[in-house]
Amino acid sequence: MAITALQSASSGLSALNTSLEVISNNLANVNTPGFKAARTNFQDLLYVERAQPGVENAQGDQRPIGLYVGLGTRVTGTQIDFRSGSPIDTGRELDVTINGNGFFRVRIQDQLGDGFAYTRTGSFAINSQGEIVMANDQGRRLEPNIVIPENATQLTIDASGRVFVKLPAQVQPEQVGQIEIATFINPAGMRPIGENLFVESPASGAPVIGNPGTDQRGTLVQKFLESSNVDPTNELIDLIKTQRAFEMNSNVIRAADETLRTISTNLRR
Amino acid sequence: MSYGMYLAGSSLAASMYRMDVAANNLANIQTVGFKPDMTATRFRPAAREEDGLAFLPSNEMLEKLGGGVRVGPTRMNLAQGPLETTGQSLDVAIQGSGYFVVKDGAGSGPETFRFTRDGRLTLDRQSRLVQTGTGKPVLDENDRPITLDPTAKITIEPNGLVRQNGQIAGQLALMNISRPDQLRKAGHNMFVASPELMARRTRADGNLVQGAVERAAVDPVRATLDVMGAERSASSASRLIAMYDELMQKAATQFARMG
Repeated sequence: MAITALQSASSGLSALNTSLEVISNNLANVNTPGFKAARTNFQDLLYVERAQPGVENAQGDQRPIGLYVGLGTRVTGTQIDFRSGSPIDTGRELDVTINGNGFFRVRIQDQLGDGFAYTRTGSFAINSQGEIVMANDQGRRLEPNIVIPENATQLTIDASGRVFVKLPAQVQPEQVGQIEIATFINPAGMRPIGENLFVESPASGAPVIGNPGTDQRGTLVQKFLESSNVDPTNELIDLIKTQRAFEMNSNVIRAADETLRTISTNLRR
Repeated sequence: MSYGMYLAGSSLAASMYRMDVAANNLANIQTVGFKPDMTATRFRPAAREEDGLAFLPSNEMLEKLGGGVRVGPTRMNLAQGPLETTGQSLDVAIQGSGYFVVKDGAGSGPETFRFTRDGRLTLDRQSRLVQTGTGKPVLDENDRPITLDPTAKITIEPNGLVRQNGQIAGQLALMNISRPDQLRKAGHNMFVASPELMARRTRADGNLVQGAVERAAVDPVRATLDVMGAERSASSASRLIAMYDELMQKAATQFARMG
């Protein structure tokens, strides 16, 4: 029945709609430091078997292949692309990029993902207590917590994550903390919670925490910020393709509707 | 009764089926590794011939017309879909013939194996190489899941060898069966054939391309034309049925009045 065609096309429309939403979110975040683009993955739905292969006819011949009609498509997931964005030279002492694998670990409220979240956005600031926090409206604390003394000048973060400051009347820089980064077996399984933060999920596996530069973890680069990894050209091409596919599926709906209408008007007495 | 009405009815049913299949093809235009279905309609012999009921009385004049149209089996168009570079290191596309083998469900026999051309892979929490969409492990040539080191860079060579730090870490199986026409779709981008055929699968000669996916092999123009053609043929068939109906009504009412 053309009803199946209607359903297939509507499954196509709703899946393509999800895809449009993902693309527009990617494009909206083209200038968000540390943002990771997502993509929509599609799969075909189940098939209805209208005739089974192997059924014999009156002469005893077997039907060589069956008759199947598909029921449309669906979105199986949005996959986050964890490739690095290009580092941008900002000159700020508290801008840090991870060159390679890993995430900064920050403290969040306990209800979400056991109290820790992970981010690639290394734009930090110092709050009124001298702690290093994320430079946004929430001011999430970096974990482990690092306190910068009030009278410190010239903050340096080296490749392995050690934080040094210069104190008055001291020649040698003083180490005040160590930034740790976390890696995951399956980063694509992490859950995005906004603010460029991700939390651990059953699919991502537990975080493996350690110092930058050890065990395939990335190293830190101070005064650089990782830019968004959204490629606007690709996103725009995807947008065009999605929009055209959307139009074609809505044509199918129109055609199926037209068919049902002619049938019902012609055959009604 | 009007024989033509049955013929028009068979045409209507066949057109609706064509539309359903074309709609599914278009709905899956963004599905990675999707192969479109092709519809076939064929001449249907008159009922007496088709069912081998030669002893029944025949209507010689009308039987020459046959029995209208019937729906033929659905066949998959297994042509290569266009490759699209994504740059993701765990996207693997197949160029040429062959399928990845994934394991679906418990057990170990060939009845649990599925074929797929959807090579969007990722590592799961046990660091096995799995399909992103279904989470099912892709198998190596010994039908075992491939476990990798999650921290090291993964290189997949055209022949399916998986290397990490220059060492061989696994071998992706790329398989085919002797009779690809026996494959049918199982949904979730997977294909399945009978366990006997799956057990006798052989190595395929396709090449793997890392950092790319195979787009659906659906031709959007063709699929749209299929929908439009089916729509036109359904509406003309339904108009024919209405004409026969009118004719019969006339026969019943006007002739009855004359008599």
